Amino acid sequence: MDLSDRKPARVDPVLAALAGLGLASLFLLPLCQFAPNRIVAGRDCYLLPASRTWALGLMLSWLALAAFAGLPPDLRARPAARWAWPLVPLPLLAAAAGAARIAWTLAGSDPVARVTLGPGFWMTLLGTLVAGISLPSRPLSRGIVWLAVLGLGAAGLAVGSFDALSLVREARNLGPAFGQEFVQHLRLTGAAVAAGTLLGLALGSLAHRYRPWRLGGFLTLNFLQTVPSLALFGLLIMPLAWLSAHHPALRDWGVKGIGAAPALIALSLYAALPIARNTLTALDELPEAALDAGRGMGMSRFQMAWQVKVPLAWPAVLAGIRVATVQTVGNTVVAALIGAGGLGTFIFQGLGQTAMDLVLLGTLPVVALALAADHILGLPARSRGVSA
Amino acid sequence: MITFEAVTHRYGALTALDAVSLTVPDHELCVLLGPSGSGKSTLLRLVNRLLEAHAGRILVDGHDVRSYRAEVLRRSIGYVIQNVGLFPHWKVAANVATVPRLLGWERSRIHARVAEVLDLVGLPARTYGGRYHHELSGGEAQRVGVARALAPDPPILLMDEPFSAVDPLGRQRIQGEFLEIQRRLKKTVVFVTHDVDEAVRLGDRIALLKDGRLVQHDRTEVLLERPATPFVAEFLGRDRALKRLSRVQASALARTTAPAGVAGDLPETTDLRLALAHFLESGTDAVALKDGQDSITGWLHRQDLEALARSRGQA
Repeated sequence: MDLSDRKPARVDPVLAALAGLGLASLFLLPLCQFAPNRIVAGRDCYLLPASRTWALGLMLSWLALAAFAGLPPDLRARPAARWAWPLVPLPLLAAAAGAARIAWTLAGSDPVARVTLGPGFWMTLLGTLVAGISLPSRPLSRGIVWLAVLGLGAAGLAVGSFDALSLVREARNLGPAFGQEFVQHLRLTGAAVAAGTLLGLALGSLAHRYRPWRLGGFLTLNFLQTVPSLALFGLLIMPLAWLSAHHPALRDWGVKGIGAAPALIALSLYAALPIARNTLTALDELPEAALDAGRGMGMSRFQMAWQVKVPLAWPAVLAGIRVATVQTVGNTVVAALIGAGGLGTFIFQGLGQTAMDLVLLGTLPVVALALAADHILGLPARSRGVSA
Repeated sequence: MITFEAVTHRYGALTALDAVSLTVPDHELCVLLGPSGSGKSTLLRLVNRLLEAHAGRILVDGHDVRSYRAEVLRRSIGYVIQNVGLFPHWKVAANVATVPRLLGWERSRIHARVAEVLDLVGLPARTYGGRYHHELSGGEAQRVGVARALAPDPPILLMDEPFSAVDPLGRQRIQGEFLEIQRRLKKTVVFVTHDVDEAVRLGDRIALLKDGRLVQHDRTEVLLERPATPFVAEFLGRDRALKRLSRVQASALARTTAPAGVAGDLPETTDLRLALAHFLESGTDAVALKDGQDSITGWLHRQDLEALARSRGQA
């Protein structure tokens, strides 16, 4: 989103409010929670008495942003104002460093003690993200700054600065399982979107060509969409188990009542709907005159398809694939319940063990994956200047 | 030459064309005129086989159109339609290059030809070649449509209500420009319209259709002078005399001697209908005619104009 062409107000209201909230949460919201072990309830830890240095850092970075928000509007509107952008992630860095500091102090030597990130930290993260959206910047410099933040975080992880935080402890406990389930999540999502794309394209074009298919095809897909994913997984267990039992070839192929097979089928069906719908709309709305002219000038069927229809319909189809991908990244979480694996595994494990950090460990990468997929698949539309 | 031999076409139970026979001579512009639903567009689309005749034959230069592969036939015939149908994802230059590219021309030849035809329609390639459809006005888009049809230099053009989506003022201009191009290039043109004024202005011949039948086919002057049926007379309108005058340039009746009572002057290319308006307005009986260099080339007398209108009317 680029709001740089908006006429700036006397005081940037969004940024000022964020800075105010950030400063208030420093005092009112606990940055962390400490528990001697996983089972007992934790107690709140505030940054201010715990680490004066980072509390000061956090305060100063919010004040810097507040000062920028209070600059005269014409100064803020200048191109040079974009250099203020590196200020944006500073509160987040200060909060992360403060949390790490608290964790070392409270749990550094005790492997069962748990220091979890608290509302103060999430508030700061949220505030930082919103500030990032509301401040003008070039996409490139914004990317560089975020990469630098990620790099700092990765470096901190590598040298063990965050090791006392229980989020990192849970991750270290999981060891290679985290990477495996992450890859499994990617594979399930990728395979389901690929299959859903083929199915959606086929259904969309069939519905475009044969009107009677429209009602039936879309009624079925719409109906499927209303079935909760967990129920659909469950419904598929019986028939697939039967198939697997009666057809050894399928069994050798890995088709079972539980596991990846029913998950892939259900996820592909969910992914197919937005793609099929967008394909149909795109084909229906191809400009009639251009098709007539193309035919009248002597384009063959094949030339019409590849030179006219596909390039004109592609943006809408891609938009459908984008929606389907974001949706599938989330739906794949549930697939863990029928043994398909993926990041959902940690979420359900964590729910079972009341280990919220384990839940977070599954959730955060899912959110990141969804955002990344949305961003990457939205790039072609943005480069055409279509607001996405 | 395009010959329709007892051509019939049906849409389901509806007979759109009923045994229509018609010949369009080379280098002439033949207008297919008629009310909507008369079958004129159907007749045109049979030529490049966007539709197939259910009975009868269509010959282009003596060869049945069905003896060609449809794509090959279409690439040899220019095609212009009402809504232009420019490809919105291609720039103007790429649109104009469509058929030459399908024909496998060399890149340099295509490039040169695109510039040439864009110049011909008054849209210099340097300014317009890089634009997209949505960056053109209606009139400009339609000029590109004409350029695209002319790009491979086809002997035949099919034009299906090409100018009817352009606003009235722009339509007059583009008609005039197209007439100039046609005078130079002498294509064999089949031109569909429901606009009588456009038909009279552009057509060497007019074929008037009604309910899928050919009612009358003649040179435009003949059609205006001697409508074969009351329907033709009614469709052409009560001002047929004026329409006839509109097809004749003032220079055709110019005398070399200056009469008494001359008032004002007109360009010698003015048509006689406008000249008559000048006489009515000024109340005079003669007007000087001037050429492009503003020198007098002759004089038009009101009595000559009226004599012409009367004599033809009785013929």
